Amino acid sequence: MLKFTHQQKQNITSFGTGLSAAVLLIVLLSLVFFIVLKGSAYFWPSQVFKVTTYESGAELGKPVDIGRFVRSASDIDVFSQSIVDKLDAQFANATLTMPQVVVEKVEDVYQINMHSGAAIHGFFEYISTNENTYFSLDALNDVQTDVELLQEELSGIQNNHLIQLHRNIASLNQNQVSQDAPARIKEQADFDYWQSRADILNEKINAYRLVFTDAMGQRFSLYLKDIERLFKPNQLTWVDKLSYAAEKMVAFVSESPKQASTSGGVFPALFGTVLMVILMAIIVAPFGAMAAIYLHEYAPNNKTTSVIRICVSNMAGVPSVVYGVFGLGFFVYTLGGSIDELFYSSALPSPTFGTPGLFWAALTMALLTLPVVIVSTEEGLRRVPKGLRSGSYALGATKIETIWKTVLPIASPGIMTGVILAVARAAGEVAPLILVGAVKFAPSLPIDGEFPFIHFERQFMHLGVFVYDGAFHNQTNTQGSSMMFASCMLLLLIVFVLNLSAIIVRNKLRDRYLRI
Amino acid sequence: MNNQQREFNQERFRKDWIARQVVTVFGWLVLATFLLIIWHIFSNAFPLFKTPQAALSETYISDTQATSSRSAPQETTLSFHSMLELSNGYHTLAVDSCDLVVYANARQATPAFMSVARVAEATAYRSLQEVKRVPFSCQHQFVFPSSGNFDYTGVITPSGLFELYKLRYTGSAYEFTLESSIALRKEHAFGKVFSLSISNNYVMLGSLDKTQLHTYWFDKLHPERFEYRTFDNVQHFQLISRSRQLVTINENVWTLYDKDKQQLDLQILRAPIQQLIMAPSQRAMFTLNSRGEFSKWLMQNQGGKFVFTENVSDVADLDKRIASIAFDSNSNAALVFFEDRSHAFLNRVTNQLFGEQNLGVNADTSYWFNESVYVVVSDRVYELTIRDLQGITTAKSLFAEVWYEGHASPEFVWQTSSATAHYETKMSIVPLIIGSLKASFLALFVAIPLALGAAVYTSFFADPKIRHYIKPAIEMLEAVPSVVIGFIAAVWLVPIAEEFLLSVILFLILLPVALVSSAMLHTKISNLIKDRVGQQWELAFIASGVILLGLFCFSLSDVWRLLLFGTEALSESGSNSAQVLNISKTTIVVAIALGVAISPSIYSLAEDALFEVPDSIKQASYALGATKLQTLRNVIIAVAFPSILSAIMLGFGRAFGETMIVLMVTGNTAISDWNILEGLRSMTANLAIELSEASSDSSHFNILFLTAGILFIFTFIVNTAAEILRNRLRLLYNYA
Repeated sequence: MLKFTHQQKQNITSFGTGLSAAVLLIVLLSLVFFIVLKGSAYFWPSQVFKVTTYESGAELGKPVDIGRFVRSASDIDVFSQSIVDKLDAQFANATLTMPQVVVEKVEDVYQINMHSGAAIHGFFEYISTNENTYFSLDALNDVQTDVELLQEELSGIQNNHLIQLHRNIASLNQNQVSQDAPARIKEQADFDYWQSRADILNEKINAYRLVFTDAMGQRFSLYLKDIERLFKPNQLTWVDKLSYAAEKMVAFVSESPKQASTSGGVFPALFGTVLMVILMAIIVAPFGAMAAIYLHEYAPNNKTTSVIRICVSNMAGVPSVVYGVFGLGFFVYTLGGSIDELFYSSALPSPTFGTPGLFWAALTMALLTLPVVIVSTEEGLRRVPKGLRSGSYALGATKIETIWKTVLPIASPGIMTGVILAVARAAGEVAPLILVGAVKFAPSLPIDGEFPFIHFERQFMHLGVFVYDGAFHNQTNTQGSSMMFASCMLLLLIVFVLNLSAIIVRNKLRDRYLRI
Repeated sequence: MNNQQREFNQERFRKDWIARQVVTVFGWLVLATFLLIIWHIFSNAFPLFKTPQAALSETYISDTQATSSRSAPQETTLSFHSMLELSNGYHTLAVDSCDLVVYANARQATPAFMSVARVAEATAYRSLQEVKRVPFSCQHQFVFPSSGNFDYTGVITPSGLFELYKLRYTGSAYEFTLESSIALRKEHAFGKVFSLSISNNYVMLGSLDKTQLHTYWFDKLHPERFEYRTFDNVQHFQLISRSRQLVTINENVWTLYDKDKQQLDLQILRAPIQQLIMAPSQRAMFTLNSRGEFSKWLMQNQGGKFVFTENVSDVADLDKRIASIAFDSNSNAALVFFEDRSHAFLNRVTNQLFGEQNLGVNADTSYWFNESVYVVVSDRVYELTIRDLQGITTAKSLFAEVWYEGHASPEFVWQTSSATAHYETKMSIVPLIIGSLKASFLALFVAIPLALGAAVYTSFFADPKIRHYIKPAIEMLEAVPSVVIGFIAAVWLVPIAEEFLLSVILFLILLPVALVSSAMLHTKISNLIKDRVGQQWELAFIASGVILLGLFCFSLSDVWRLLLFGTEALSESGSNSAQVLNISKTTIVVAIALGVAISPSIYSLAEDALFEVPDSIKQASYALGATKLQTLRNVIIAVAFPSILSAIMLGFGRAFGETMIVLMVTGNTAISDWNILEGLRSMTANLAIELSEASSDSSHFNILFLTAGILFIFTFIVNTAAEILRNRLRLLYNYA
């Protein structure tokens, strides 16, 4: 049996406890590091490799499986090894023999980013246009200008003529005007004329194609109008890569998700989160601050006050999903149902406010974060020196004047801290939101040009819910999951920035007392 | 001037008064909100505790009957027989002067109220509109299905032919179509008690002649191939068309036959059975024996053959005979009508009878459609409206083991999806509570050593300058949204957990070894480097040591596996080790992810408690000659113990209420197994999954609110207990 000296015992304890602290720190750092690493892969242009599998044994004769382009950020040898390992695992128990794999880096392969969000790889062949003439890539800009002009013309026809004609015909249909009425015949003739012109234009536009060959040597063509961007990923310089990443980042926060949330951006989710959080802050800030002022300045020191305090501390401990349950049951079904009956009875049985939506979500989150604001504000109020209050009273100020002009200005960082923490909490919270209004895909933003411009009853997208949903649907697709990691990164960034600013504001508060 | 001053002051005091009122209102609003939350959650769970009620709402008679009774009361040959549920609503099938008639309920037709003088109470009657009349001669005998599909009607013609008609509703009109017919043996074609049961294409017809049972079993599409059997000594029988079986009872002998008259099962019973009622699912049967024992028999698969087993544990006592039972197709409820004209509700799963009432209705035939029970008496139909049906949920069905149809023994099951009609909803919340507790304990298993170790280190051993940075850093971990932790765990940890399980275990084994050896070497090393590096780098050394050890274990995971399991284990890429150790990856991942999520909050509270132990106490300990370690163990931890305990309790509460991590990482399978290595579904995850899909007037919705209430109460108790503990510590400090 080992015998330890006192010093050794102390060292063991010190190291053992330090170990726990170290593990927690490592977890935090590796979590952040991992998310940033995986998330930034979404923005960084990745290298493209050509992978060809050959029948085993044979002297690299016929490719059995496929030649294809694979995107990866890793180096060629590492990448090659990882593919071999993967195949190894696949073929380990099978009776089939493992195919031979050749991975090569192809210099002049193009990556074509489509408007739909897909990314396609291929060797460029030529540009084909309507006159059956072929151009090299130098003419791309000219051809693109042609297509843009044609598309402008097309949209002119659609906006100025076709839409109006459509409406006219629809109203004729609605009024049950007979098929051979002169008005209808005239409209129909107009419609046919413009429609045929639009068809011709469409055909012209579709004639502009880019022809590529894929890894197997097969030709394929893409409509020029569908192509967003064309570049050689294996020949990018650092500057190119940086500008590509910057553009991708801008697109990430300004575009809608594409391709079932595997590419594009998270703008609707970000917008929904910010809007919900602002609404929530508007509700919770005055409520929380007033309640804290009551508890600290007005409330008598008796049983009922301590009951209110118990309420506050218990509200902080109630699981967030219970707030979601309350929000759904009370706000949505009870309050929303009554609002519908009173004001939107014409739209029933389809609910307006009686269904999960933005306002109910904001209200639910306000309740959830109320204790945070109360506790933080009270903390701020508690630190205001008693002498200041006495001084104010001595000068003849009433209680509200003292609070409003003396106490609150000094305690305001406390309120700020509370609201910031509340916002951070609401930005990261998911469980109650999936019950009261956040959805994985909302067809329209809660703010638009339609009266009344801000739609409190609409469902909205939330960054946290977006990540939650992505975790279940995009695990197999590396590109998709890297988009989810990018969303995670954004969410983490928002939450960390908010929390850090709360700490800074709180420290400012302390400084202020030091000066007094 | 003075006057102006006074007015100004009055204005100020008025403002002060208003401000006081407004602020007070907001203060009380917090209390009001809290009470509102409690009230709302529990009021939504409350309908579960009500007793269901059946009240007579309408009485229907046929419109011909109604018009005739207005002029002069006359004898009517009308007798209602059956209810049909068709696409457009409720319809009634009746036999009127030997004709078969379909009536549409007045609810669909124009309401025609009229009071009938014959009845003493001035009750309003609704007339049923005749929509279809199929004439038959009076020598025909009708046989309505006793169980199975009610859209069929059997007719026995005077020539001894059994004809099966189907009633179809085609847009606007009813159609009677002859589906099939067989020739019966003439000698027992008439004047017998017939029973008909239809399931898909399979038709069973039985007629009991004193104690001899004759059965005709056939496929609707091939009636020429019918099978005729006779059974002797039969007192009661039930046809089970679904499984093509037959149950006969003679005194206290119960026999089960298959379609070829092969005896499948024979049981001697405690007492002779008086009544036998088939559940609509045809998977269970209810019997009432001469001792007044009302029990349920469940169909079970015993080695490939289906037999009935009595649920002996759930037997209800009855002192009267049953007239009929109406089963609800959407819930576990049934309404039992007794021969003494009273009725009671039956939870058909737990076999509990309650809410007995007496309406004075003699109900030989009754049907349950949606929220109404229709009682068919010879010449009229009563509609009973059912209220508070959620109350059919009993404490037993929520908290006790219940024997469900298709299960081998009584079990706790949470399974709410109802695929078909008459499906038993299985809502035992025990698996959910167990799931929540299991997840929380697993998390604490990881969180307690991590959080408390870190708290002791930063408050006691670490350099104060270091503490200033470490504490906010670890608390930053608390700010990480749980959905992010859940996402990383689900996407990254789950796939590697299985593969690296062995490495994790190795890591845990090597850790103490590394700890002890580094502690042994520490004195020597520290002497070497003490002058150059300060104590603040200690943590960095420890962290790099952990990382190195981790890398050592994980990078060589293949080697460890090879050493332990031999070569064949290597090829199966890791899954083997998990199988050998029989640990599901869910367990490890939940423990790690949830543990990491709750450690910062435990750490933060525990660290504060340890750090705030008054210096005077420490100094006193040192002054008495205690070493640093002795002071830590016997003084600091002892003093701060209640606070540490309260921190752990709060962490437990947080783990109990945590939703996203459990939802994303576990498989959400509701298993009621205390074995921590099995899967789990917590109450919180269950709420997030099911609440938005539950309709707000169903018992499912109410039960979900009940679980929310349980969550609420649980966290309330934990928080309050933690608060009390912390207050005790504050008192202690006052003495110090």
